[in-house]
Amino acid sequence: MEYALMVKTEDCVGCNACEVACKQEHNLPVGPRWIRVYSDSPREIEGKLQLRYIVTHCMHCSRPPCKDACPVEAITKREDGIILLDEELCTGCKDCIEACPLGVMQFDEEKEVAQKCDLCVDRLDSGLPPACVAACPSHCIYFGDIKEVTERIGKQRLTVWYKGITA
Amino acid sequence: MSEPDAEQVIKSNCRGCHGGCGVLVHVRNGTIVKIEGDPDFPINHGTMCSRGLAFQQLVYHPDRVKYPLKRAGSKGEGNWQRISWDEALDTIATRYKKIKEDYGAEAIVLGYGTGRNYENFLYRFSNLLGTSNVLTAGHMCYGPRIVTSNIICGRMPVCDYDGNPKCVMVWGSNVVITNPDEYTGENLSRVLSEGAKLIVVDPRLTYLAGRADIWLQIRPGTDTALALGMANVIINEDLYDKEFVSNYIYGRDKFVERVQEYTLDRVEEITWVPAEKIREAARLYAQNRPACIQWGVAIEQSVNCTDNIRTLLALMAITGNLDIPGGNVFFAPPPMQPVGKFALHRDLPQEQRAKRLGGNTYKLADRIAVITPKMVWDAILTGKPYPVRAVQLHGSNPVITRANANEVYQALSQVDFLVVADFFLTPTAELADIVLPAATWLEMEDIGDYWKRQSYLYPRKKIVQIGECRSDHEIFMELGKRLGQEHYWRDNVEDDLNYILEPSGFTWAQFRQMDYLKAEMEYRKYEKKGFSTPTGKVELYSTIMEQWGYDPLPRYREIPESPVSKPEMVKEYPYILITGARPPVFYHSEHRMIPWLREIHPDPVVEIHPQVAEKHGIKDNDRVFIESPRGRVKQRAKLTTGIDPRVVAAQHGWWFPEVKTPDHGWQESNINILTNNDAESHDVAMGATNLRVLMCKIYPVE
Repeated sequence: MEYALMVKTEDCVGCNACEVACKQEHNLPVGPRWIRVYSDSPREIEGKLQLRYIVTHCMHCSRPPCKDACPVEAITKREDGIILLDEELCTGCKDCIEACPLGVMQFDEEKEVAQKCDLCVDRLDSGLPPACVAACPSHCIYFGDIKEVTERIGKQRLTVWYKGITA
Repeated sequence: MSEPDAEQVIKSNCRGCHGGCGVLVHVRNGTIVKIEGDPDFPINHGTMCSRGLAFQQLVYHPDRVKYPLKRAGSKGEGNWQRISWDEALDTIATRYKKIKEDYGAEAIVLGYGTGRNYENFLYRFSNLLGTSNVLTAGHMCYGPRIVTSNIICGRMPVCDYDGNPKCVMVWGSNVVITNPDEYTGENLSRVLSEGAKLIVVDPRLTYLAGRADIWLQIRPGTDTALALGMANVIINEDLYDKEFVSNYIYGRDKFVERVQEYTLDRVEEITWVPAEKIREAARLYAQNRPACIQWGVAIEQSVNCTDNIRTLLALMAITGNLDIPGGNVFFAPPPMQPVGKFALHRDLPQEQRAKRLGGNTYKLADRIAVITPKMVWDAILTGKPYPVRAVQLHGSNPVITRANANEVYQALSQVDFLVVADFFLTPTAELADIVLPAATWLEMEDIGDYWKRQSYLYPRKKIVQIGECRSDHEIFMELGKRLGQEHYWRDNVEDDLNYILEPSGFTWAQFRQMDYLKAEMEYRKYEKKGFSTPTGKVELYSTIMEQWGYDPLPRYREIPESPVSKPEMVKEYPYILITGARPPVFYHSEHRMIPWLREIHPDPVVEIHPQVAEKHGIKDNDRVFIESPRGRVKQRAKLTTGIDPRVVAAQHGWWFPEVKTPDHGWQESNINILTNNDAESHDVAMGATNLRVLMCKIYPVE
């Protein structure tokens, strides 16, 4: 089984709870934002003006460009699909940040290391869902086995939502 | 005994805003390390909002006021001296005794902002002190819905999400991010995902407006006309509940007569909403029973406050949606001491009650013992109708949150004696003579939220002690004991909690081990008992309003400062300004100092249409001046097609805690520098301030 975390964009109300839940869970300072909510411009969808939010976070790619880019092998992929970054090994070269097509790799200026979403591995190990999933008041963050998540969430053309976003 | 460094998890209930969300507080070595939603709690089901999730950064913030302070220099200069609680409370008590002797107790004004569940302790104190002047947000926030409902249908009806409405009409509320009063937005998200229809009345494109089956983009402030237009459709198309109307409505014919004055053509002209859309919305609401109306504070901060509420109550009533599953229902709390009994309202002498500032003018406000702030500023600045010599504010920042901020600042700078209890030195606290360090909900034992119109009671537990912070409850008790009220207060707050719980059969010690108490819901209570009004019916023609000399029927009043009422202003101030659009991470004037929240929303934002921006040479994210006849402030422009080109929408609540001078930049972006509080900008019965709709111009900061 491989884990996936995806946001059902049309259900996101833009409340930012996921962002703060993540900050709290990982005790992050101001700066790195492993998950981030952007407000999109109003646009016509299905014949009416709508306001959508775009949530960016690590997609835990099956062939992660960040991992390939890392010169010191600080980024690894677990059997369950979770891509982890070892801050102890990271030299702060930012090659992974350059390599990520989604712009979701983060950098902690104080520690001078790259950072990323770890899908709350510690919580998973205690049988809890990631912090963002648990907190989300509109229940729009789907988490679980990638096949099941894809089925539940339906087809979303995610690339469209990421277009034009700079993290 | 657990290991010294083992993590403890304590169940409690968040009171970061209006409360209600069950939480798990993780504590290690006596320090809170995490606050998360309690998956087993029936109000929030484990979910949380950003403000609650960030609360540990508020508790441990380095700028918290941790000790009582007294002013050491001139007012507002920012020089403070740490004093003991005894000195602080003795100083206040001595001043109050003297003021009471010299001017009467009415010269002392007590006040709160949101009110974090200590409202009835405050009223107990003020009633025993003998002052009827309690200055809250209650004249324009939640209070109007409570008291207008009381006189029209006996009790405030609330959206019954647990009863699965088939249609929800969200009116002037961004409930999914604000989580106001009785509910969290999670409930609405759930019923929508299960297929409920959605109607949204809002001048701005919110997420909900975009998702709605019908979005009525209303001209700001014209809600009464829109609701009367919908009533017109429901009556003339025979969509009303005939059985309910014939049995339970008082004043049907007169109400119908009034409604007929609001033809859809006329309503379209007033509200800018196309007649056909109004018709469609009225049909959708009336034909999908059960339907509920999720109303928000926007309808209250208006000259039409009372009538906005009355007309929405009328829509609930004529469609038969009152007190049915999935409609708007009357919740009752579990057995407990009635809040009025605890507050000792009956102990306030009649002659003191009669002195309430504005009590004879705003009779609806008088009925729930609140006053409108303008009366207090006038009394301080002019001595009329009598002088106000002292103000004591708890968790309230009127320099930022009340209309005509320059006047508020002037009045609070001039009042002889100002006491402020708060978490931080806000621009209001900086004007104080004494500042008291208030405890948060994580630093006190309390029963939540027993005065609210919902069916739950739940315990809050003291988990940490910060500095010498004390709960507001305790402050009122200790002050009361110094002012001759010792026979009325118990030994400690816990004894009062026991007293409040008495009718439930539980002691505080037992209750604090429980998750919550929930009252059994009983629907259609009116079938047995009627409605608690003079006629026993829903009074669409209000006998109480009539007796007080107001119009017994609702009607639309033009906004006092609009292109319709003041066409001569249009040349100088061409846009309608609405204020108070909520960003999700802040609660009114709070939270600007919380790093996790401020990172998400660093600047005040004003929404303008791209056409307007182009006309004035404004680009997205530019700093702009917004100006009204009262003054101007700076916010950052956000261009959006989600707003009418005739309207701009600014945020409220902004000050800058990072500015270390004692003004904390209160004049920089504070939208209430622009709002008006003259006599004509108040609701006639409630004294609600028209904070929401005025005229402005907008231009780039060069």
